Amino acid sequence: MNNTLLAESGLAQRLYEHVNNMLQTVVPGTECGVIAAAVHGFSPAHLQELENRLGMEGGNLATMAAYEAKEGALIILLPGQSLAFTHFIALSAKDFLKEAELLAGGMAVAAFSESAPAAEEDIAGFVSSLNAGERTEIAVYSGYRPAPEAPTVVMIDPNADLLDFLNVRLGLQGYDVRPAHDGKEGLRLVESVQPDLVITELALPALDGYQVIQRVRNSRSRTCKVVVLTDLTVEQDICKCFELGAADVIRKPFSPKELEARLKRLLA
Amino acid sequence: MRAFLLNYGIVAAYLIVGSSLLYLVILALSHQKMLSIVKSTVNSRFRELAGSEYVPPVSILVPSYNEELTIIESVNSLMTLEFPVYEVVVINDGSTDRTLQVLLETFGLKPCRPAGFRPLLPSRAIRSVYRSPLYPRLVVIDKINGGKADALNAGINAAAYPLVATIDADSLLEKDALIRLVKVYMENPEQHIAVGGNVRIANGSSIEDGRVLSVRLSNKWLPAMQYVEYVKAFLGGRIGWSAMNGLLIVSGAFGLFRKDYLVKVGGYEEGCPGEDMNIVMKLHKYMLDRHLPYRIVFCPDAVCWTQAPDTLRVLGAQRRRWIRGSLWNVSKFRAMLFIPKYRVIGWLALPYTIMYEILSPFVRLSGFAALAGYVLLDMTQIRVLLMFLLVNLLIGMVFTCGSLLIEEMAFRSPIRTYDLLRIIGLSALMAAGYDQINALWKLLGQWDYVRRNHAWGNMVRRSWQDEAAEAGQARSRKTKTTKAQAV
Amino acid sequence: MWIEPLDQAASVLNALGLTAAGGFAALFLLRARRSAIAERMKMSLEKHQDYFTYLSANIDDTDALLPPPGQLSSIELRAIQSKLLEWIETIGGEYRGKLTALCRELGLVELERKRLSSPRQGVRLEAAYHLGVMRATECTGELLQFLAKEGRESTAFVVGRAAAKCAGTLEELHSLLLLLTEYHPAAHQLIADTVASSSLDPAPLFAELLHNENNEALLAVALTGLSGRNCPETLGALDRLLMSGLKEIRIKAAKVLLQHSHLLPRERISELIRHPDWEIRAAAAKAVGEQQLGVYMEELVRCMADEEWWVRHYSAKSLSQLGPAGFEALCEAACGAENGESRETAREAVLEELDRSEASASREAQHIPTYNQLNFIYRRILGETGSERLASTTRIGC
Repeated sequence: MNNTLLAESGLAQRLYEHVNNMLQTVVPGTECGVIAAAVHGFSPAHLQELENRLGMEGGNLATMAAYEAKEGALIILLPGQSLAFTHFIALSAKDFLKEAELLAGGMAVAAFSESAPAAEEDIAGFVSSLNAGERTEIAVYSGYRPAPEAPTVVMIDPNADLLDFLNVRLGLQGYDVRPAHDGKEGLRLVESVQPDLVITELALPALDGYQVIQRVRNSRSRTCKVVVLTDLTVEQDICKCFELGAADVIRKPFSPKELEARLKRLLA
Repeated sequence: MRAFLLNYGIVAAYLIVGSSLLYLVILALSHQKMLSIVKSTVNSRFRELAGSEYVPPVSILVPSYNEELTIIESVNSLMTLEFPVYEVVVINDGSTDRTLQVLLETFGLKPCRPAGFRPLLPSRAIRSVYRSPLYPRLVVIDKINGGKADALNAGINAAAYPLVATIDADSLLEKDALIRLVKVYMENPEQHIAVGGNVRIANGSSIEDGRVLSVRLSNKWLPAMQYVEYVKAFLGGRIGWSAMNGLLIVSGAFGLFRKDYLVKVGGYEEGCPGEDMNIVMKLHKYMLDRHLPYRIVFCPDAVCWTQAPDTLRVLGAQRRRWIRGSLWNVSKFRAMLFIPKYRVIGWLALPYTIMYEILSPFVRLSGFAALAGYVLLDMTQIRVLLMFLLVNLLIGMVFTCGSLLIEEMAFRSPIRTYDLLRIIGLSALMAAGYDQINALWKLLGQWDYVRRNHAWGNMVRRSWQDEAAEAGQARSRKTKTTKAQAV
Repeated sequence: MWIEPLDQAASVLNALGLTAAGGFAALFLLRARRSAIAERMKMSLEKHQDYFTYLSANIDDTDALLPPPGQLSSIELRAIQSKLLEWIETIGGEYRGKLTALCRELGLVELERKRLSSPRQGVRLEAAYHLGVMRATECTGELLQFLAKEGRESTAFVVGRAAAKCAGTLEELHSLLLLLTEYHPAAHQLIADTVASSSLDPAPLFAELLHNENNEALLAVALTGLSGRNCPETLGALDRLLMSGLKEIRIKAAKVLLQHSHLLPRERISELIRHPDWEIRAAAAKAVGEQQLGVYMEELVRCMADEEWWVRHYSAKSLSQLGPAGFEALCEAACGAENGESRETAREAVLEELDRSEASASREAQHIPTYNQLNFIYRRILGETGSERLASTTRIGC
């Protein structure tokens, strides 16, 4: 499968019509979740089995699954379901497809609502995220189109779990996130990708956060802003960060919502 | 004659077994305490405490004399500790190499006024003080040479904070080592007047940017032997003594002290060959004399990596210096022996040290010699000699095994199985050679002490990169050979 | 006849050999078990990668987060728990609430609660630690009971922190404080930090303690917890504590009092600057400079002759922070003070302030007039030229 084939084949076109029909027929104001998966060797019996399996997850979950044989794509519509629940159902669907060895490529989820109706290019973007690379994780289509001018964010923190979390969240907001685990690695990354913003912890291995701030501020990319996200809560540390030219300081434990709002403002 | 030799040998063997048993009893008595420490550290998040405003600030003292090869890496590792408020005071003790210059160049240091310097303890004159706008936590003091004790005293005078941590210039700290030590202090700031860290041998491990990336046993014999030795001494030994409050030494390589008590006991003693043992003895004596409640604690999870000597000559010099230090201190504090008010120190710790440091080399070597003589007279009795060696070996094994078990349970030891097997093999070999050499050095050290030979012995420092590069080469060589085999 | 000792030796050897062999067997068993568990944990984490993405992406959704579909093995549950606990500790705000709710939904709270009554102390401690992270409010009582049993051990702080994180009311925090201070009366800072890890604001509790309590350890913890915080309602109680017979309480109370210097009458601060405890004098002198309270210049000048190094040190520092007038007073102390030590302290502070001012003048032109003014005062009073000053780097020690 490749992009052009998908676009020509009219899968996106059919899906677009489908979704909009659905949005008009179900109760107004609700959403419609969509799951897409690249599969092979799919049979109608599988389809029935899948619908049964998914039906077990929610009390009376209405699913509409269709297999587009020509493109090898499985499309599941979940009328009236939010993105969160659609994503959750996709986990079951993926389990099923994997167990039955039907999965041939990536999977993607999205949700469209009447208030934010699906434009044709949205659907095209969603469908194309199906086969973007060899990814094994379920892709989430959030409505932010990957644009060449997407702000790049380098994030430096020794805590891999936190990096994972923010990577997903900021990725959904349309940022291009590059994680690094220590100060040295972070600085190298900053030099090579010239990011718009750096998020850093202060207590870092190899090179501490202050040095990172200082060097980023004095490097070629002077426009690059630095946000400090740190465990250190001592007053002097916070003041020192601003002295060195940090744009903002957030203490851990932090509210991701707040962080996202601050990033938005800084990159506006 | 033969009967005498044999009897002597057997008595020696029993003495060795007996002293080990004594120690095992101590360990058994203290294991409850140790388990409690281990459990509380496993279930704590040190990152949380490392950002807290309630953690008292610490001045880290780094005395350095001719350390141009290792000082940068070591200061780098100290700059990235996870700890809220601290300063690093490097004391250049009149080095004759480029120690000061490399510091000035690397960290962009500028001369400044010695703000807040208090002459609390006598020390040689300070030439100048340097600070850097880029590294606000770093202070470098350049002083006239006066020895390690003098440098530490100057550092105490310059320290801005009420807690001081002493660290050797050739050591690297794990990034959470300091907060772990200070947590132990915070559990009882009134009584925990000194806390010692766990020193481990870094030779062979890969080191980058002031941190140990992966723990490996050195390919060289001597450092690998010492790795085993250190694991035994720290995990097997100090934990037990610490639980009884009988710790006679807080390693100079990594320890934390309350500054006020260091000043009260008069600081480090100049010209003393074992300044790290000396200061702890002084603290014990000071507190016990005044009937003050106190504890000197060992904190096994605060890890400091150090370089071990890798030639016999340097190692020998180091060991002879150590034994001289022990003797010096034992004779200095001999008045504490068997006095009721000195409790564990007077009744157990000091006598044990005397037995272990002074008598045991005699017993070991003479026992071995006696039995060797006996066997020479009658070769059919070689079994006796072998048995003597076997007893030594098995005792060594039991201790190694105990220490490794503690390491495994407490610290999720990151060592590879291959290295573990080597450690076990090495500890067997230790009994059949290394221990005897060690005993010989102890004897020579005693001889030095009697002759009042106070040479420091020269430690040949090697840069951390050297070692890593060599290990790297060795590794690539090894992969080549395995490849060749595969072909 | 030589066989007998050899036999004895043989039995010693046997005993030693058995011990060593048993020990090594245990060692390798432990290692094998640990690495097997680690391997399975790693695989479980990989297996549930999609689920973690689902959690990260939808944590801001209005609906609750759902547990993963299908049956979980116990190791999978542990893997998911480890990830969730790590997130809970770094992520605050409303998302933390969603994550803890998910833990409950997964049955983790119930599971750990059961482990809390395990006969093995290690298991109990781990359960307590996990319950704390999961903010299991309903378990606070059990955690407090557990804490009472730990007593003097350092493990008490693990349980204490867990109880603090779970505490839902100030009464529970209060009982926690009572237990911790009973067994660890000296660990003020660690207890203050433990209490601060609670999601409740402990300031009202501390304020109440200041008013009603006489126990030294409790007061010390409360004062430590209030340092660096704004709490004007405690001022009355602080006055009472300033009269306390316990020196440490007096000092701590004075320090908290000095945080509110703008609310204090003038004579109050003057009293503190003249207080018989040198620690309080030093703290007051320090506060005058930090908060730019120029009216106390006279008092600071008097403090320059104090017998205690710290008082002189902070007075000099504060004078140099009080602008040209303060600097002038400092210069006068440097040449006129009666004892040599205070002259030396003042002189050091003068030179340091001149250096600092010179450095900032060379960075930004707007500071040049200030530097010139200070330099003028310096030359007028101490009669040295700039070059002499630079040459006179003080030698210390000897």
